[in-house]
Amino acid sequence: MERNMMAPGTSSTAVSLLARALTGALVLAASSADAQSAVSSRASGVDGTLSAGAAVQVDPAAENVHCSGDLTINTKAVSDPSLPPGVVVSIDAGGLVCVGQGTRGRYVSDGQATLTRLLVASDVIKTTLAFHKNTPNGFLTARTALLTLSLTYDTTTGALTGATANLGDFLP
Amino acid sequence: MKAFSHGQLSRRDLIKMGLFTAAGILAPIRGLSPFVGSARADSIPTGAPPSPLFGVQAFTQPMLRFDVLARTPVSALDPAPTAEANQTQQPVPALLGGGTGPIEGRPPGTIWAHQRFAKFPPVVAVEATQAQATTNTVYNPGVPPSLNSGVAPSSSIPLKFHPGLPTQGRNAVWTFNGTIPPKLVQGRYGEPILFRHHNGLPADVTQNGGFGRHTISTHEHNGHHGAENDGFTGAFFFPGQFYDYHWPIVHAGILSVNTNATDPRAGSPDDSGGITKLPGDWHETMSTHWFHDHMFSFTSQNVYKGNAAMFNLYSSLDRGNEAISDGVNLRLPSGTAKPWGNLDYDVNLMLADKAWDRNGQLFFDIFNLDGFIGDVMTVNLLYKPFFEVERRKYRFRILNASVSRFFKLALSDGSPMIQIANDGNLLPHPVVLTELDEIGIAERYDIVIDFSRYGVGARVSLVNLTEHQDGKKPSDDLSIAEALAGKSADPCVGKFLEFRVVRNPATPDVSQVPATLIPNPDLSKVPVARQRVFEFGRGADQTTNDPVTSFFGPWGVKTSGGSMLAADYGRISAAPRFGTREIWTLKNGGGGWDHPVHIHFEEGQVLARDGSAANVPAWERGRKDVYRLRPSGDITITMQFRDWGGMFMEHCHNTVHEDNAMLLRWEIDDSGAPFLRPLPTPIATPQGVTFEAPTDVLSSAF
Repeated sequence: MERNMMAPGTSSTAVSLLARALTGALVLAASSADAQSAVSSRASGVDGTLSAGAAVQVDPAAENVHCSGDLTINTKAVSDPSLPPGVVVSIDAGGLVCVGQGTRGRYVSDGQATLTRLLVASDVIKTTLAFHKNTPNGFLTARTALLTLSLTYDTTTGALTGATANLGDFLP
Repeated sequence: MKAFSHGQLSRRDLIKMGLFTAAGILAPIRGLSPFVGSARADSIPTGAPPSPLFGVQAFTQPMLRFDVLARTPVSALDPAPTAEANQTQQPVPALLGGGTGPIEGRPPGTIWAHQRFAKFPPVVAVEATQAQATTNTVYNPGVPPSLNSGVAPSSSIPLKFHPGLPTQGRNAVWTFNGTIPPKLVQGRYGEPILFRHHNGLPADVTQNGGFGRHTISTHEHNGHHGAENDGFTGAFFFPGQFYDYHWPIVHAGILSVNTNATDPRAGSPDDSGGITKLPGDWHETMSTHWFHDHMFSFTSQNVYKGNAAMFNLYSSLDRGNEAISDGVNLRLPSGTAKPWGNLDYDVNLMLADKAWDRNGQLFFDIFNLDGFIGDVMTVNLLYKPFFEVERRKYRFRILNASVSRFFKLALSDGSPMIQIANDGNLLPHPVVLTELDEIGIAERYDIVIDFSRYGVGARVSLVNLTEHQDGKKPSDDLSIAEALAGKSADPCVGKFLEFRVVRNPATPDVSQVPATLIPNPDLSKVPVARQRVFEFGRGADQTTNDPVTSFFGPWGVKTSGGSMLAADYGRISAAPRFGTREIWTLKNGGGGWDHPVHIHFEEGQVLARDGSAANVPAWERGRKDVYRLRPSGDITITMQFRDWGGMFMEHCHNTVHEDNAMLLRWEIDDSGAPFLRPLPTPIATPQGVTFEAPTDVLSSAF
């Protein structure tokens, strides 16, 4: 412990030496967090196709998959006097309906993501999501899609003012 | 500065002298601190000069698997372990005050005796010494070289982060047995382990290489056992002592669920491929733990310095044998040669950012109270290594062992990964992700990667997408393309571990990832006895002034609407009743900051984020023990307080925040003798541990 473990025989020399070396110290009052947050939620329509060719490495029987529906985007913009303005973006693709173009089978995604971003007026986010056949072991041959979000904010209030989303192949 | 690092001058002293702001930063005045943020862009994110790399290149050394600590019969221990702390006297070095003191540093008496020691007598002993850096001449990876990137067991391994980097000085790194790679304990349910931890650190507190403390307390994160074995922050021990930690390894609910041990899912793998049935709730089976230092106000320094290891727990469900098909074993990627505990395709990964000084020696900014971030990425304490794999499934047990950094992981080609566990607990169902959620400090994500999608010769890397500008919080999650493009000023963004697909497996991959893993316990019949709210933030007060147990810094915890209080391990902030369930809401009073809050003792379930269950993502719908608050967020969890008693902790696991002083003590003290209500606080000295009454008991505690 700092407080009871001074080595025997230690004088106050070390303390006074340091004190003399440190001059002109500033003392600032402790600041409580004057943070403010703004929560927004939007649904963004998505209509995109995942092509078979991008997935054959995972599943030789891959087919084209068409996805449509609403993506839910929740944002929480947080301003804090000690930090640059930031926003937490949560995405839920659970509302998308994805259908294989060959088999007409359903594809699903666990499709959630939470991202930390800097708050700027216009932000383009590229993130990836996994999709797989809606079968008991379909997740073992999941494939990757690229989700591109274009978000706009009122940087004064932190409110999300616009959101568009595109879904397509992720090509490394 | 040296006086500060040696403990001759405390942060309390510096604040009183006006040299530390109460907001927690050393006053940024010319000449005051060499570590105050430089105007140079390349000082991101450490705030100090960039760590020199001495010309080494990434992915030019093999990743070493963990070093498996030997399991020996407990009868081999000398002296034999005892239920109460061994008070045999030995001379105490003059540097520690002289006289005599006990050989074991555990607090004496019945309250700190190993609970149910006779009912769960230790069977296996594991011994280790916390020691100064040295060369490892007894490396045991638990697998042949072909599965360890060609590295043979018993290779001589100097303590270097890379062969081309300087050897670490004896006091630059302190770790288990003084050696790398990090250590791994393997245990199985129903086979109690006695972990004897010797403190072999210098008696001279000034011999610390600029940071770190020679007194230690070892927390098994997140063991379900008595507090005497939990590494309480005030139950530390001194150089020359040992501390016997009794890890009974039982399922939670041993006193109330499946008490006749009839359910094979609550079981342990035996040595013949069968199951030993055990009492307790199989829904509470745990798999991936770690253990690390928990010294009061020095945890970040000691963990960063090397006091961190991992602990794989094996059960009838998670057996470590992928071939046994008995309707219970989940057959997760592991191996087949042994009935349990195969490591062939079950790999521990310890991620940690580090920094070093101009001489290549490990460096830590002890003046940084916001959070310390390194600028060099290590895996298993090695700088950006490669790891050879076969074309089949692997399980990776990933631990964030940083002190303040968050990681967000993806594969460089965007391929899916299957997350099977969170904080060491197998999820109800696997979750397929192409980018894992940000992994906070002390969180563990177990994932499965199927390398059969690649051809021999292919290479794919783990990539970190989360950028930090400093240790306050993640600043930005990049896309895979951005991270790979090298655009970030944060050197720890981008590739950090390269997988090299070297061959087909010699035998077919029979491992599985079942669609159902471990469902959550059904708590519908367990009434909620109490609800509490804990708020984590800045501007902490210190209402007590005990010179030993209390501390202050910018960080604190507010309990049930009270004041924001800095840590005092003599203060009782909560005392749930034995055998009950409570709901705790953890709130971020820190605005834009993020706090990964850890609650000791038992796993909890997340009920809601920001007031709604719908906000809980799929990978958090299992059991956890580290709860990310997220900026301006709150999280509601439920926990049970059963089977064991004593004093435990709740704290931010941004360990710099924990140390300064975002930590509280809670306790279970009403289960009967020997416990007292409230419990007396241990006060450790080299000459022995005494006790004092709590410094404070919050009115809302009981």
